[in-house]
Amino acid sequence: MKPAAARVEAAIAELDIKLPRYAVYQNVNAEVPATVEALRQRLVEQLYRPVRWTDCVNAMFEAGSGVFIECGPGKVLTGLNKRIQRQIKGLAVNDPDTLSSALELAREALDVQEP
Amino acid sequence: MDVLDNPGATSLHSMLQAVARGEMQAGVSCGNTGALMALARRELGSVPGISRPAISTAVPTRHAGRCYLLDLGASVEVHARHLVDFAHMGALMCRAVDDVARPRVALLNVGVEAGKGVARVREADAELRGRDTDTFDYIGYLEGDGIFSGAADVVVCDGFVGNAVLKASEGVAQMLLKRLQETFESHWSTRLVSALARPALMRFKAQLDPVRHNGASLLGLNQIVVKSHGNANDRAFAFAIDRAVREIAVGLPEHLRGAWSAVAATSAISSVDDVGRVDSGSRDTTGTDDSSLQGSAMTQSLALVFPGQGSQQQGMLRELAERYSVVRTTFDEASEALGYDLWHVVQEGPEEKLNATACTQPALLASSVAVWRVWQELEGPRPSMMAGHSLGEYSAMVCAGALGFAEGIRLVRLRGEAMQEAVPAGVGAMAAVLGLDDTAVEQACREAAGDEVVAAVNYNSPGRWSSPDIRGRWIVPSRCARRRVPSVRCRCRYRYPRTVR
Repeated sequence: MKPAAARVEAAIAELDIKLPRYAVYQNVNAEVPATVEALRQRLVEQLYRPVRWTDCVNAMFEAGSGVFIECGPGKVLTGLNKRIQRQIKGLAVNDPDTLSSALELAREALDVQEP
Repeated sequence: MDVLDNPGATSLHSMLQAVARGEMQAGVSCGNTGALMALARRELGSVPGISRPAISTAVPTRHAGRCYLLDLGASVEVHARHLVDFAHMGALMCRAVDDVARPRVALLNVGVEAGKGVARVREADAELRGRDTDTFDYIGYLEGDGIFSGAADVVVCDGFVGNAVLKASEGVAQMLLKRLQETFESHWSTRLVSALARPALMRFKAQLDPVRHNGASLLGLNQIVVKSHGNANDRAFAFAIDRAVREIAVGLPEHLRGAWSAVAATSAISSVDDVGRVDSGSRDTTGTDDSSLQGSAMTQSLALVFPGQGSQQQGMLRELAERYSVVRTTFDEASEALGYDLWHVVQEGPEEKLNATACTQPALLASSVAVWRVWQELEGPRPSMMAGHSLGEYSAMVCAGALGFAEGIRLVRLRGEAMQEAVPAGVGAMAAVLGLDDTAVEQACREAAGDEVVAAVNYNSPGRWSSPDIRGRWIVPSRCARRRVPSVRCRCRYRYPRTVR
């Protein structure tokens, strides 16, 4: 995947990237990037280095996340997350029903009223 | 300190409770500093692992630069480890908010030679020199005049000294501005010169004006609180609000939480052994015990995660799109960036096209962004953290505002194309290994590789792996089986027929 990484690296270098608004834990090192430069580099390395999903989920759990909502098709990550940490409450959102259950779960856990 | 004994009726307390409930993303106050810090700690809690929060603001330096000074009065009595914590917090803020790649951090002292200063400063110096993180450059001691030289991006001291330095520097700045004004106004000739030099003088005044530097961050709390000067006018207060907005934009508390959970593991930063009380003057002001402080620090946070390749399905998000129009508009934006109708491929196929990685990747990114936009439209709770699996990391970056959506779509198409070229269709394969520990799988990969590429790519959950096995032979699983590990269950399938991941 190294040749692919070189192409992706060139493309990423051209883009206007900002530090994320939320703490994004990156696959390569399960850490939140402190600089835009680090963020770019981890994105490129991700192509040829292992995805440390277990470490990412553990890091987020330890940093206080108990509810994990999966945004997108399928529910692969929701299954993995519960295997990684039993206490995690998780749901995958991809249709109106799962959406309303996930909203309810998140609002209850964070003690936020429905607007 | 009546506010602390009976805080219910104060606007300060109502503001902090609203922040704690998540109704507001930040609080800005020009109230009493000690009361604000003590109440903020009680209502919001400090980031787990941070021994003491600090107050910090930027002071102007030479070459139009700025330098963060901390602590400015949250802790008057400090130990060496608190100073070390302040150094880490200040550096992180400088990186996150000001985007300085490697902030230069200094300890304020009465001389730069090794033996100078009080014991706690010397101890902190030793600890900072021996630290095992490389996220900032520790440049050693700095004397008071050095703060304004631009030699450091972060200067660390205790709250008593910091407060005195800040007040003194503001006083000097105002005195200089007044003197300058008086000098120019003293004679008709200098008044003439001042008229000519007016634009430059106004620029100079604007740079030094304390109003521009109004807004000190209460650093190390679970949420954002900014302290404005008590005598701030509307313009100065706007600068304090601006400070809070910038901290919201970069998610400063999340960065702190992330860094502390990562670094606490390597114990470079002091542990939670001291949930110290706030020093405000010499009085104990918090009126709360340690457990309640920790309790409020443990409020549940929300994490959003984004799937990677393999999760795509033909017809995905169809029902959601019927209910929420933002799903289709999101796909329309993606289609425009790609130059073909992505929604049509996702809904109608052909399946081979959707499963070709150069198309799968934009399709998944668009799906995740669409769900996130629906979530926002319905005012779902605000997440603190995000992560995505492989391609999903790009989805997380787009949803977190690090990367534009259209740019992201084009980027992941390129990523898909590049991956496909590296491993032509039908050549790569992936196997899932269950129930074997990390080192055993790595060993099996090495044994199996020969002159092929066999490696573990995803550490998905404990004992659960996936690995690409070039040429599609199930080498790793067979090796694992041959090793006769009793608990091994190997399940292999051509999950990603056209790609390695």
